[in-house]
Amino acid sequence: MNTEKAIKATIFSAMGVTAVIICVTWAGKEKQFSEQQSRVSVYNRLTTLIGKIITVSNADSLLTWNKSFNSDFYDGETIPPEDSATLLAMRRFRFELNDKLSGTTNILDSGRFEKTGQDIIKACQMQIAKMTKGSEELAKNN
Amino acid sequence: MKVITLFVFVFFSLTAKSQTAKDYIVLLTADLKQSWRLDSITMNSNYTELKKEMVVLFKLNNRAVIFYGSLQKADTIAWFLEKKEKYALLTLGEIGRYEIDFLQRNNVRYMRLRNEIPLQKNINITEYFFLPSNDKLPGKSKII
Repeated sequence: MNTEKAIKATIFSAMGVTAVIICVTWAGKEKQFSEQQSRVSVYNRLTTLIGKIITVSNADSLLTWNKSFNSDFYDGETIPPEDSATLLAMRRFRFELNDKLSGTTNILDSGRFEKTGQDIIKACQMQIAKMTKGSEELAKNN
Repeated sequence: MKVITLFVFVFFSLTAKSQTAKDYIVLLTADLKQSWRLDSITMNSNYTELKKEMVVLFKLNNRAVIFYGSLQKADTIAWFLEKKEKYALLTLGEIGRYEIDFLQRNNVRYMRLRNEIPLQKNINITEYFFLPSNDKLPGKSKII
């Protein structure tokens, strides 16, 4: 009788532990998925902003977006430190942006400003592609 | 937005002119008709590697003659220009390696050397601004 009770208790405990593990794993994956979505959103916003900056001809808009680039992305540390490609592209772009704002032109490479902006966009798109692929795999696993 | 981004990318890819090392060397050496004088550096930086008012004459044999202050003292060092994908690098003997650009602002043309841009934000980048110098250099005919 005691043995039977012990077996039942063990089975119930095992089931309980399994349920808890499933719940924790599911919650973890949900959190991971939500973090990825948030990162994708950051990269999308950065891509949009850079696209605006490199095509704008209005000095006031350029000033406004420059502030936004600096506060929201460059100083905001919204890009993870492991994404060195985007961070380096942003660093180079900031120098070019300062040149643009001061009315400096590059004699040998007049399109340098736009090209460094494109480098950020490409780096962002690569990250988005990586994350989207990761999310699809997560969704499949779920 | 994606369509606009793609359009912008294709536009700049088609219109982009790629610069060669030769383009940089032509401006740097200016057929030996011109030397470069270090006019200023970025604020909050110190003249450590390159000295204020130094004048550099870049020769085609990859030697550069540097004149300091009074133009009485001169050093000769090796220089080397390397074109990278996104920028050009100028190596100045043992002094250092710098990104090089030829720029124009308010109708003034100048050359800018700066430390290579690293990933870390906390590393200060010093920019050195050189103006064309037509000072008559001592013994210039001998140097050339």
